[in-house]
Amino acid sequence: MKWLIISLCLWSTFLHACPDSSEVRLLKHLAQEQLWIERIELIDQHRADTCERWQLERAWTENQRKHLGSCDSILKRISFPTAVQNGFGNFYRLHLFRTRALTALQADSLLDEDARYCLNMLQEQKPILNEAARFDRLNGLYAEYSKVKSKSVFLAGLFSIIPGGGKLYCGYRKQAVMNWIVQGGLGIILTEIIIEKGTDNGFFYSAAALAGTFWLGSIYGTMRSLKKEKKDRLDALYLEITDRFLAAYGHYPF
Amino acid sequence: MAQADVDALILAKEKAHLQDEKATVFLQKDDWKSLDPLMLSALLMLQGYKSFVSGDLGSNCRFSPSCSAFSAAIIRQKGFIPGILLTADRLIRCNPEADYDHSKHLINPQTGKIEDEVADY
Repeated sequence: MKWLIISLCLWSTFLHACPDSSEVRLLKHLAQEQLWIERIELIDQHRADTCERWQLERAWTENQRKHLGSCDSILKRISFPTAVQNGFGNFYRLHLFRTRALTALQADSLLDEDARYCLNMLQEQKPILNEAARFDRLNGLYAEYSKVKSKSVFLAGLFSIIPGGGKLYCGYRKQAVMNWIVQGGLGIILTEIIIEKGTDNGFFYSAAALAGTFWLGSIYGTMRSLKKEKKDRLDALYLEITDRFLAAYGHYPF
Repeated sequence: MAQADVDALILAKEKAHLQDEKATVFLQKDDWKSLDPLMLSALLMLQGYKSFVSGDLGSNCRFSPSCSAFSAAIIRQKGFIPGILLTADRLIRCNPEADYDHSKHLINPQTGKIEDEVADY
């Protein structure tokens, strides 16, 4: 009982005393929000500039389109199913190809240097992400997605058998340390109870249930969290791409 | 930052906190008939925590929805055992260093909390 009370006190302290006091938290939030507001203003400004440029380009290409006719010929050559079969990486590149190829087609013709470059890259399946280096946010989102893209949910679960291992595999270092501390602490308490009182008593069952729940929860939670992170980051990336496409062409891709 | 902006942010925070409080009625009338006893007991304990304990501790959770709201929702959505396991994982993740590992676009600029929607699990 003593150990159970101590562990509950420790756990309660860990959960509720660790966060900062409300004043410090408020100041922290205000500072954070100030940064966010500045960042959002910058993004808005950047978007406004970009949209203006796109609007000008679009107005110019509208004139050019009259001389070119339909864009279907080039769009048919860039097959959507192939890109989907090869995963989102190519799906993302496909958007860039299509955008650039469409712009080039509208601007001049299929013989345009840019369109030929895009089509060649598509045929050779080479990434052109570095070509879009000016799109900082897009690249940032893609980099965030890349971190979790190649991580296996199964392996994350497997590594989680060792406390914190799964989180470390996923790249969440501080969460891994926290997992290790919490589960290690519960393990120590459980061991102490076994040494002092044996296994056939209520304390052991309670502590074992608590430690087991956190251990299994860590395994299951790591797997679900990774799956969710993958989806969230992909959604954010896709939203950014469609946003750009919409700003450029006035409609959603596909 | 101007004082008016600070006041507006504080008001927004209080409003968000009030909305969060309103959204924390974990038990409905029909739950007594429809839910199994395990889920019901878990939700009852969470409701008790929210009604009698949580208010004194303040809004310290790093996530939105808060851990108790998340727990109630995930138990309803996934069932008792997966819900309890995901709650345990969430409790470990909810600490002052939680921002470090999460994607920045998941942090809500209005509240400074990490968005962790139950529906995504």
